[in-house]
Amino acid sequence: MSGFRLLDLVKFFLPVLPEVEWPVEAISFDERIVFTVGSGIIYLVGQIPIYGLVPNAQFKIEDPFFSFRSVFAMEKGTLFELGVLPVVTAAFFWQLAVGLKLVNVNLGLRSDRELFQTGQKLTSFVLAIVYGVGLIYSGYYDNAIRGYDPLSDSTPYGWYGLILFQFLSWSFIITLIVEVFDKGYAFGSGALSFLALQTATNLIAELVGLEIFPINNSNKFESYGALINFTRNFSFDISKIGTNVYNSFTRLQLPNFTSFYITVATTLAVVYLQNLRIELPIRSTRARGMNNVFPIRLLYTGALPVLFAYTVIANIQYFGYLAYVVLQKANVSSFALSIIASFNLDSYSNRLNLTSGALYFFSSSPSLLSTILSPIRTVVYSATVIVLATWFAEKWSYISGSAPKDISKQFKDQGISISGKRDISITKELSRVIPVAAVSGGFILAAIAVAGDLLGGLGKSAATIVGVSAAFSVLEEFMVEYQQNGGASQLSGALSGAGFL
Amino acid sequence: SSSSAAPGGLRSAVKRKTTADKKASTANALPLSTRAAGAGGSSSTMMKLFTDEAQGLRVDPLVVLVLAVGFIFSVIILHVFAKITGKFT
Repeated sequence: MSGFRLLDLVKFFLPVLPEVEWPVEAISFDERIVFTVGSGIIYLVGQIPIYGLVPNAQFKIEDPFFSFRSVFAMEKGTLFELGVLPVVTAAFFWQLAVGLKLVNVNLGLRSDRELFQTGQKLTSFVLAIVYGVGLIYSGYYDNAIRGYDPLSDSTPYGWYGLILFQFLSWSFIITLIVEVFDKGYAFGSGALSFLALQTATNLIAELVGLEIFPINNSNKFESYGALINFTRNFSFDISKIGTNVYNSFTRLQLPNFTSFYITVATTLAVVYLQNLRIELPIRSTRARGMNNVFPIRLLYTGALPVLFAYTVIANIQYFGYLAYVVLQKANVSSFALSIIASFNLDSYSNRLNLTSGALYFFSSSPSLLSTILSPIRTVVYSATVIVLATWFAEKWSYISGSAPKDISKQFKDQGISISGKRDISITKELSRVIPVAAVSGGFILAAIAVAGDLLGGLGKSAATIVGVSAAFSVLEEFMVEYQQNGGASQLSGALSGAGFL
Repeated sequence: SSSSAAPGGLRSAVKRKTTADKKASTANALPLSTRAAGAGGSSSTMMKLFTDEAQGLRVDPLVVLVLAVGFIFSVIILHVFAKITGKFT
């Protein structure tokens, strides 16, 4: 206990922060299914537009963050404006800081662990407030507020306050729901389960969504789903087929086939990679003849390296944009501003594309053409993502409690050792395999994510990677729970009829 | 060549000291994550944030879900209200 610690700041806020109760008794299997499904429905229903914006506001907002929205489930114009970005950033920040010993916390003490957990929650709330206030200050909603003309009226503080209150409260509620998941009331990890759910529903909606939206700067209407739009516009006229097909692949405002195919290809790649593993033959030191295998997966750290790399990029972009806006409003010279970034509004999709400046080199390219035309940015961006992901994979395998030393301790407690090797050398054997697996897995996933981005996927490939891996982890936890406790489950009894499973 | 000769062990005092230091450092090593400390926490594939029970304003998980539903409901009612009363600026 030396001097002042960052963690001690948290103590002041303890009485105010809500904390979900620890389960008093073991949660039954059925109850966990109910919580999971219930939370899933709440997530989906929560995508309603914010009150105070004009209808179809998502097409009027000028969007500088289009390249990583799907990774964090940020839906513009709805309550999910901030997505899970605050929660995930807070989690990575604290867990890495402790794992790398940058913060003075002794996790062996229960009081420190409690402060650590509250610190994560507090950081998530504070980050949500910072992001939210920054968004409103930058005039993000100015084009879309009901009854407000950005050129002539005075600043609508009332509307700003109401909009901020809505999406901030929703962000707090989402943090609490993530806590409900994490404490064992539902299956899987809260943030990851939500991303899996969002990616899955977005995939279907982008293909066959039936809603019709008006196109910017025209009097036409198009369907949301890429396939539906293609079928509606399809005609057997030879002269029009070319333009229809081209449009269905490249339309910017609504989903197109390019992102769909990238998503499908990424899903298949991740499903294939999920199965690659090295199996270490293990034997029991207590019972004779028990031969099993201990699998070490290629994706040892799941999709967390990719999520980490994109979290860093997203925060760079977010704070860079806020810095740009603050300096712009302070009337700094435009030359100094262009060192940070310079934006160019694309009128078809109302996206703010970066064209130069420091932020430009940390953004993904919006299409294959711009990948080819700006190779420096491509190389810098890819290198950043891949280096961040690989570094994280290597560190995470040590600090997340699945380091070779921790696993060999578990083996010793359970009386397991590796066949054909001495009992003492378990740690050495594992540390030959685990870091290599973790780093290669992280590298391959980052490479897939970057490849998808450079083809114009706009973060969809990374979102798919995270979603599919998260779905696999949730499924594993579900199956383990089912095999252990499923006999007592009334739901499975009802669904499967007579007999037992 | 050491005066406090322990029976057995390495010959030179320097080597004995280094092994003793190494053993002491691994025995006292701080756990690097909540999972390494024995409590649940992030595993290598899942990111879990909240796995202990801290002091704070205790709420039941059902209250959280009901709060979420109530909030969504209130926003929907605001939307409906605005539509019914026509221009509500």
